[in-house]
Amino acid sequence: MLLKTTQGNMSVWSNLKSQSNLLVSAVNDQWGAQLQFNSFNLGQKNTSTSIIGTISCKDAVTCLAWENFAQETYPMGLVAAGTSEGYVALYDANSAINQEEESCVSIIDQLYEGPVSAIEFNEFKPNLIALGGQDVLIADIIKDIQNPQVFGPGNPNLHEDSSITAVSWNKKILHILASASQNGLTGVWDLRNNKPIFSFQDSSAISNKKVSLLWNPEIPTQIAVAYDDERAPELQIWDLRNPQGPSIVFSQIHKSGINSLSWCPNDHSLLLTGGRDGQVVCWNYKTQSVVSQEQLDFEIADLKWSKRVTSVYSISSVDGQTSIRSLPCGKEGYAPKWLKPPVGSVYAFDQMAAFKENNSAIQVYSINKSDPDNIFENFNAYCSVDAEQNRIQFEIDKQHDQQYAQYWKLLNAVQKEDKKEYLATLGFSVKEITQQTENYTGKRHSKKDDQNKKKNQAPQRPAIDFATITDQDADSFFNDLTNQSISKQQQTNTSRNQDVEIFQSEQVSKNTNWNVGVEKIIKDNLIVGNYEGAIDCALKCGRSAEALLLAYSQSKEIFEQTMNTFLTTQTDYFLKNVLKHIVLKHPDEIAKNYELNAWKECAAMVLNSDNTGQFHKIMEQLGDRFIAERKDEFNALQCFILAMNGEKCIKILINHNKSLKELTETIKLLIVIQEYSLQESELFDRYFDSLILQFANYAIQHNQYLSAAYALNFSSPDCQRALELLDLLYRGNHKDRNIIQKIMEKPSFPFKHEQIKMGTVKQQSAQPVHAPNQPVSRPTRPAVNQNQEDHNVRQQIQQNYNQNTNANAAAINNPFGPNVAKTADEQVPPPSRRPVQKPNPPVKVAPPPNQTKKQEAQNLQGPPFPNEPFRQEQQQPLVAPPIQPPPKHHVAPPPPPPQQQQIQSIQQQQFQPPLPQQPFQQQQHKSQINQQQQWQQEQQQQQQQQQQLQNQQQSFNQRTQQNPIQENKQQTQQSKAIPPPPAPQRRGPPPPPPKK
Amino acid sequence: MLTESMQINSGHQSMIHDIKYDYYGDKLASCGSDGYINIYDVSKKQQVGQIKIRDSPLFSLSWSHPRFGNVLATSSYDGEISIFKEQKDWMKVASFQNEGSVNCVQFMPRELFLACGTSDGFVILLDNNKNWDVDYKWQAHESTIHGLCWNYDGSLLATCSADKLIKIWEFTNNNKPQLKYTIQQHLDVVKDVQFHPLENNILVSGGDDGKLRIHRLDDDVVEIQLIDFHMTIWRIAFNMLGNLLTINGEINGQSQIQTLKQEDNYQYSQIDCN
Repeated sequence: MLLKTTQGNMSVWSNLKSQSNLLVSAVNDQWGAQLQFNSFNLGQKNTSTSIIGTISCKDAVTCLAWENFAQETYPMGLVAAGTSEGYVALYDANSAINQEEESCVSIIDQLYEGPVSAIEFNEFKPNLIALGGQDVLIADIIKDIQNPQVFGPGNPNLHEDSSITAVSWNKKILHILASASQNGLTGVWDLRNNKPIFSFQDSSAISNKKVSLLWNPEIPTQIAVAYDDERAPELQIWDLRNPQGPSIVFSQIHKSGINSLSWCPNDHSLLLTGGRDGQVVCWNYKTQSVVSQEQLDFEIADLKWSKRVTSVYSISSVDGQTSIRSLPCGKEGYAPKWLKPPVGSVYAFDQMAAFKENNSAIQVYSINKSDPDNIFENFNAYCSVDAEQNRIQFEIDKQHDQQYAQYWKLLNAVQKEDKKEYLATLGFSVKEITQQTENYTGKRHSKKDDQNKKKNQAPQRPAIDFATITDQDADSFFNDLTNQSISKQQQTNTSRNQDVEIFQSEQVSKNTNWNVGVEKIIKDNLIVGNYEGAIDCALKCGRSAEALLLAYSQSKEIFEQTMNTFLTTQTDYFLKNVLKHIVLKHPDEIAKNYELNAWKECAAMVLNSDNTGQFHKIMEQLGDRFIAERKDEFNALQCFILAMNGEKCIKILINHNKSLKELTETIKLLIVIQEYSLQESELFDRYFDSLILQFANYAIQHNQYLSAAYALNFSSPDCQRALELLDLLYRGNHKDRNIIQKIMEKPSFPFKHEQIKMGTVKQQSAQPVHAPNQPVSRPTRPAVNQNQEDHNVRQQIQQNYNQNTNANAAAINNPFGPNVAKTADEQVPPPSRRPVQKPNPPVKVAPPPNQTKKQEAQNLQGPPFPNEPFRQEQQQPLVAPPIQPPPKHHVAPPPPPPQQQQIQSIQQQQFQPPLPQQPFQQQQHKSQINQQQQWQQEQQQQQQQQQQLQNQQQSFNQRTQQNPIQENKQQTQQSKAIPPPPAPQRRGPPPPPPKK
Repeated sequence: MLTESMQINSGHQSMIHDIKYDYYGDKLASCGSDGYINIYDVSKKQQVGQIKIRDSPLFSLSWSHPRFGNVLATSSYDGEISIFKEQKDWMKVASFQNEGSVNCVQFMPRELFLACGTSDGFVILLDNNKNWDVDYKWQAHESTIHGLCWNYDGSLLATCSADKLIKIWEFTNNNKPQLKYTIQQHLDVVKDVQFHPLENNILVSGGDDGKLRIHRLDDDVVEIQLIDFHMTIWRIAFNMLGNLLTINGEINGQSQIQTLKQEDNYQYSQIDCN
């Protein structure tokens, strides 16, 4: 293929790495001789090269060479031109290109009387230049380029009187030189010993013809010779080990003499010859075949492969035109080396496969897991613990970081929902304070505490109904009032050192004589029945208790008014800002003003006084204050954990991902926080998903696929990337696959199936060897639907049978259920052919197991037994479901009965022939149970073997298992309406509408 | 870090030119100069399939996304692009005959949309939705295209060529691909380009100049790292998430495989293995 054209009847290519597209051509015409430096850019459309430098020569150029030499002095190397007058000129290519006046470095003259016909630099020692003319000479320019040392190759002269037509340095052994002469003789010289070592002569050769000569660049004993002989235009390859005759002869292609030969530097199998007949032939000497053959319309004088541009060569015509061409490729059988990757590798999970040219085996490498600081091991242990409370305990036991330990303690309190736990976590011991109080008052207060305890998990006092308050209650109210103020005051003094006035230190009248002073006025007022006056006086003189007692005896209104007056007129910070709000039941007011340093006191008090369910809101306010006033994320996060506000927690935790360790701790926390968070929050899901993905990426990068799968299992069902990774980890071929498949439910395929279309197969010959005869069917649905159809029918029957809410649960929980399939079909838009963004995620197709479990649990109340075999279908991947809690985790709750039934049926299914048809299910009920028992016994042994796996499985299933328990909890909690409220339903898509 | 675990007897009569794992890493396909595709089950360590096309060397392989089943595309020196699907056996679904050698093929991630690079510098796009008709064909380079690669989301296609250039083509919906970047850093033939499997704008390239270059595609192309391997770089492979990078090269007829690991900011450093 013609690429570019220029002038010249011979050319030589640059050997520069960075300037591989430079070509020097020699133009000999009536105006004299000139060397042209051609540059070309294949990326440009123009068909001619650009001349970037010229050198004018006095005499006609008869041969050319270009080699890198003394890079510092001649950065672009030396161009050597042999002339018709028998001398050689050396030019500095760099100065020629830069158009400097004198680019000629040296003239080596007095060589020959006739023209210089051949010239070649030694590639190993470019200071050695082999020359051909009347005889063979070597010029050494190492010492003095101006006056090089010139010597012959040795004696005797093999060529006698015949003129030399070609010289060639051996490409492997630097002191071996070959030369060819017009009489058809080829000689090989050993320059180390200065003598000829080999010669051969083609018997058919006639004299006065050009012989071309080149050493094989790969095999140093082989030499290619081409004859410009019309009768026998042959290309021969001789091996010096076999001097009897040429090893390979290529003939019959060229119609006329071959006068140019080039051995391909980029693929040593290839040789290019050009003839007087205008043919350019590319030969593969290894396969002894013609790779390409091109007929040009001019007599070829010279051709050369580009040294560095693959597939490109230059051709010069006798009449002075030079063109740059590329080897036509793709037509014939032989692919040139530069297109054939000799080496390559590819990765999949924890393995890499690689091939190398000289080896027909594919080597597979395995990549080890890495676990810096045992982070992943610990994470797996954490995840294999089976319930939230146990995870919390696990972390409390193991956590070394104080900061995280504190979070876990708080979560522990949240999870236990016990006031004492809360107080203890906040740093207050009920027992200790009670003790102190008793010491002070000499009275026992523990009875009240016991009452609280009996009411169990009611971390608040019964509300005082002002209308119906009994004397006893009133009494204890005042006692409490006093005690609290005293104990709190002590704390305040010690812990906060805050300078506030003390209740008792106010100016309280010490007068005990009720007949004088203000006491008399009070008494008089009482006498006349002016109670309000008496109250006012009592308040004013500091007899607050008396005032309140009086007011209490009057009416609710007066009492409240008095109390209000009393509380608002206090100057004591504590009384005014804390006690007042406790009494008036405005706990949120406390949080607004409470000293942040002592937020734990505040939290504890709110916990005590809260009867409006505001605890969480108040903790949230406190947390917000920490952020707003102090930017204190540590304390804010504690508040938010108590507030059970997942969104606010994650807003802080989202930044806790600076290191893998931190990220892991964060994920562990969030797994539990997610469970107890009160509100559903898209933001939480989004943030949590991004953290999970980040963690999963780390885990996968360390080849910790189990950890990645564990974490991804907690992602939201909307996170397409997580679904894809989970699918990849579940089905992918890696070291953790077995364990993941045993402990996890099979995730649904997170992509839309699509059918490949038939194209037009044009070449009949191009059939695969094992092509089956049957045509490609083009079903409109994926093949899996065949199975689904059957299943759908059964599913429908089942639903009819149920006619209750289970229909919903079954539909949503079955990853292959009809609704799911339908949504997938309807809601996934056909991915645009070239999406700029990634294709839309399939809409909530069968969310990962853990996310649906709550839903499932809710709908699972007493499912009729016949349902079970169908329920299990979605659980099929469970290979060894746990029946007993694993011994390792003694705290694990036993699986609730419904679950157990389910598991049994699963096992049954595994070892049973296909299920009977649905309509007969009821009759089968009894036999099923019998079978079930049998199977159960058989299973026992197997289970014991698989105990280890069960542990992990249980952790994945734990949500399912604990859900019924949690639900009970929820119910009790709701009835009591006490803080902290239960974790609400979250994560897991809304159930699709029941199928009609 | 890498330990030799097993050898698969490739069954090829001559050079292997490409190997590819399928999506889940269960199957490994190889193709070579003998014109065969051999498919092995990696776990069972046995050959499970074989496809013969013609005697022409097969240069490149690409597995489709599994949502289409098991689909393989390959391209040959004599210019045939073929697509096979595994039913009971492997059967040819479609083929396209190009004038010259087709050196590289790759399915767009998640789609049956095949990009092919030819020796005469063309990129050919074949589309399942058009029954494998040519969706678009254009002269991307003036010389042989040695490698091409889709980015993770399929919005960009990088091509590299013997013209020393890397070009990045942007695909927007219903428009023909548009040239977005041209990278001229390499001094010689660029043999391979690979996008980072997680980062849509990180691209690595290597070729005959022996230099591995890591580029960041932003408003402009920024070269963020250069490592000189002093050998012809033939193929570059990322692992699943791009934290390992393997360079396959050749120097003086000797194949070499070197592995790098990712440090911060997509810098890679050599690790001692093999």
